[in-house]
Amino acid sequence: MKKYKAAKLIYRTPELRALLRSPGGTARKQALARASENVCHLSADLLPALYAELERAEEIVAAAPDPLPPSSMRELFECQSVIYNLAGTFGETALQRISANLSDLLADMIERGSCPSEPVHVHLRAAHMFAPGMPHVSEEALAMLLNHLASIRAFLRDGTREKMQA
Amino acid sequence: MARSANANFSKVQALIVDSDNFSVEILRQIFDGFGMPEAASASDGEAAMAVLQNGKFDLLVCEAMLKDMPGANLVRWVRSQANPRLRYMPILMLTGHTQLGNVESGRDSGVNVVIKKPVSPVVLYDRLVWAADSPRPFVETETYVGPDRRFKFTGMPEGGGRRQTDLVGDIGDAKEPNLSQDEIDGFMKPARMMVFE
Repeated sequence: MKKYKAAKLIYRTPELRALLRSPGGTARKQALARASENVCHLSADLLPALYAELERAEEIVAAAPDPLPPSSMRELFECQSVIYNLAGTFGETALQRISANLSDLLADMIERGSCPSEPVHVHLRAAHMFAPGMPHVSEEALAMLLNHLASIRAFLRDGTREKMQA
Repeated sequence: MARSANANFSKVQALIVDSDNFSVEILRQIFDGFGMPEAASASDGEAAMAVLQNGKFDLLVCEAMLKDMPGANLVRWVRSQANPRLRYMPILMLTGHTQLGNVESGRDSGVNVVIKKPVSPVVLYDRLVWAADSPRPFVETETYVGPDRRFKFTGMPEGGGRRQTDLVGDIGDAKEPNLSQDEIDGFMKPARMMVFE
């Protein structure tokens, strides 16, 4: 039987604690208010970047063969991570959820090694519908759309929706 | 640190490791709001190692999926360093992909806290202060160096801070569902003793 060395326990106060507790500083409420304000100010610069990433995603798919090879899927996955983060940061919840669904789909497909481009196109069209500045879409329509996107993913992953539900 | 107490970030030197420049900028602005000097950044794991070896940092904020290596590998490297300032530094791992396996991987690499992206100021502030104040000892074994993963949990970080948009688990039928920030917190601290409402 292999003998393991005993675990060592180290009791050490992080220097960060001493720094945070040093005199001065800002109250939590004030710090959070300033941080939120700073992030809001960023939206003017970063929302155009969000549009650019949506365009980039389209370009990646357009330039790739069908089915998408792993390299294109990985590039698209990175692009979706950026969209997910920006959309979530600036309150574009619907776009964030669509992007999360596409990211999960791509993660599944990267494991398999290829992905048909149609389901990706469907997600990208959905993402454009919910891009900032687009006409409002009702919650019901959004729920229906997300349900359809989930079905697409389940179909690709498991073959059929029924199999997944069973 | 009591919720009403001031936290002084003015001398905290942080390194942000993320290949997404937008994410780095958002984090910088949040830290700026807290009163922290401009955080240094590195876009991949190799660059981060070089910066960490040549600099003096109090905090590492690391994305879970770097271009050249998993964030967990960078964390393991930090925890393997002889320099105690590096070895025991507080590390926050950020990820937009919070399936259980990803959170588990981060936890087992030796991070102090896993935070779900997109990051909100309140979540970042509360976890950061909690990581600094947490009385967890460091455990050093042959296979793990990092904060003790089994410890008495005496409540959520003060402020609770969770955004409504954190709960995105209903958008698909993932093999492993994405976890909410609360679920991640619970997983990072499995020996929950009591929870303050």
